[in-house]
Amino acid sequence: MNCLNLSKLALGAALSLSMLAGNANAEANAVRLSHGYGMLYLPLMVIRDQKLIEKHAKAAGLGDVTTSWATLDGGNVINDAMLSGNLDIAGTGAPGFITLWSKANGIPRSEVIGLGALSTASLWLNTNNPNIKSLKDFTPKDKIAIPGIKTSLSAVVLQMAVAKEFGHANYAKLDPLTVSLGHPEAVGALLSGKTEITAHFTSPPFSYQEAKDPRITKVLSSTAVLGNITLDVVFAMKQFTVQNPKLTQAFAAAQEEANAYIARDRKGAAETFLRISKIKLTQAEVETMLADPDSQFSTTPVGIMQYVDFMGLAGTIKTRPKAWSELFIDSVKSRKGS
Amino acid sequence: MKPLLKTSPPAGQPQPYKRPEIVRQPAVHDAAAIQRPLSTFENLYRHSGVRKVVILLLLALVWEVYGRWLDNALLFPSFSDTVRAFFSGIGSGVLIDRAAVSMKTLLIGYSIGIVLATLLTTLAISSRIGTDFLETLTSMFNPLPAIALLPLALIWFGLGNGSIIFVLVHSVLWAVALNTHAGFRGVSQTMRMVGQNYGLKGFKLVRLILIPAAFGSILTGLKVGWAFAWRTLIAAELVFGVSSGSGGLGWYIFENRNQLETANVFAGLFFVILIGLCVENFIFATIERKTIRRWGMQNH
Repeated sequence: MNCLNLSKLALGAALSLSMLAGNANAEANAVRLSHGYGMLYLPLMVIRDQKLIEKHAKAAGLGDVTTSWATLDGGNVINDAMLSGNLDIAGTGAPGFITLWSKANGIPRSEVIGLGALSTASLWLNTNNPNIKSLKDFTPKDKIAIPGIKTSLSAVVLQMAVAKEFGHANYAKLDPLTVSLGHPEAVGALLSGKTEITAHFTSPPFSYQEAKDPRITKVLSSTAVLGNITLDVVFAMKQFTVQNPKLTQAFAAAQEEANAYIARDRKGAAETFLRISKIKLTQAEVETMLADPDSQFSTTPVGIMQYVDFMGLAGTIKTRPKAWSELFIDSVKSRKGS
Repeated sequence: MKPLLKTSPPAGQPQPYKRPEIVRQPAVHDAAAIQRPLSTFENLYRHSGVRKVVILLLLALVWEVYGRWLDNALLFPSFSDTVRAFFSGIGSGVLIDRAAVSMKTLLIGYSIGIVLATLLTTLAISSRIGTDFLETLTSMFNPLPAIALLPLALIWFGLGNGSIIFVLVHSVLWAVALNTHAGFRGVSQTMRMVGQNYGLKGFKLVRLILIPAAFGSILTGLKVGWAFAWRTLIAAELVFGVSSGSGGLGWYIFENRNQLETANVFAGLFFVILIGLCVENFIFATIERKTIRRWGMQNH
């Protein structure tokens, strides 16, 4: 290739690159989101069902935005998908989000930020062992099933409850008894009574599924011990919120509309839940779950610093935010959270 | 006739010119040399150990450069980060504990697998139905990944060590049996007939004639089985992450990945690699040297 051809090639490449770069200021027109299986993800399910993001994005002048949804349950999988750039917005447990925020703090390309709270509910510790009436009655022969040991939402909330009962130094007292099992398998194991699993610490609808059985007793309810702290949050990569401010606001508006819908139309929300999660429950059962005062869907984070303080003392996070507002985007900072 | 040679002329007459002696050294050209001492580089390059260390150092250098260029300790820590995490893991004793737990389970599974493989191949080599039995079983079960059997094993053997050893035996057994059987079939008829001449039959024939003759294939089978066993163990511990009690190296990797301590994940992987290198270069190489190299069955 002689000099003239080479310079023509370079010019052509530069022109095409500049045309591509010209679009860099526009926001993304495709969003990838994820939610999990339980009732805690109901607002995201409503957003998915009613296509609220498309609606609010169009209203904000962003044109046609396509959304693609994945069902991801479990902090690790969600973290991996987010860090590898395969996911834009996700709902996950608060402890998992705080851990990721703490680890990624200071690494510009991996930093994450919360878009707001997602939901709170009561986690129930159900058992099929009639001898267990409180946390003190657990023996080494009992096994507690949780979705993911040590780092998942259930694991950390259980540790916090144990810390309240036995003192902060003993927060890991019941950890050797925990076993990692997905929700459906754990429900099956607990109800069958034939495995080593004698307890399950879980959220609605699985906790309600188990409680229907007369052999199952409830040992502990997380709201009784810790109050109505936010369990799940919505988060995204910081880069995403910086490059797509309008889209982020459209999502926030969509979430508010979803929360209003759930508060207003319980029947419709129950139908949405059954439709998206495909779980085998009746409409009436889901409506009962929604009627529980402990199940709240709001975007204002509550009790985040409780997690931060606990995880900081337990040594799970090295970098602690000074206030809850550091973890979330500006539009949420002004709320009365904690 | 005048004499041709002139002796020194009588005194008084002009003397002939006596030129100085010319002494030349013989020209020692490199190409014509029969023997010369090795240069330092050649002396070092002779040892395969040195060559391997150089390769490893180059790989470590590439890793370090890439890690620094990427500058994202959460996604891909550099080599120095990993080494630091590795030494802190060793220092606190965590990595060594976990490795010991892993090795114990591995050795139990590996030995049971080898014993079963020996029994199976002995059975196979003694009869035609035995050979068919082995071939059918191997072609059915060799392609089946051990991890796929793990959920079944959990139901049969519970949440303890039994299920891991079961999948380990599965991953070792078929590879070793296949290689051993192929080795036995490759032993020449002459050697077999010599053995039969001595009245050897069945297990004695296998032990005294077939195993030494087929040792090259058997050793390959052992190496492959070892690699499979390691991989299955680490993967089973990752997937199996069930109990919060003490686990092995795979469990260490899983825990640290959950806590997003990527440097520790890499340190765990690094330890797995180190153990693999040590076993290959010390244990298997020694066995090779003392058996098939000494018997002249393998070229250098």
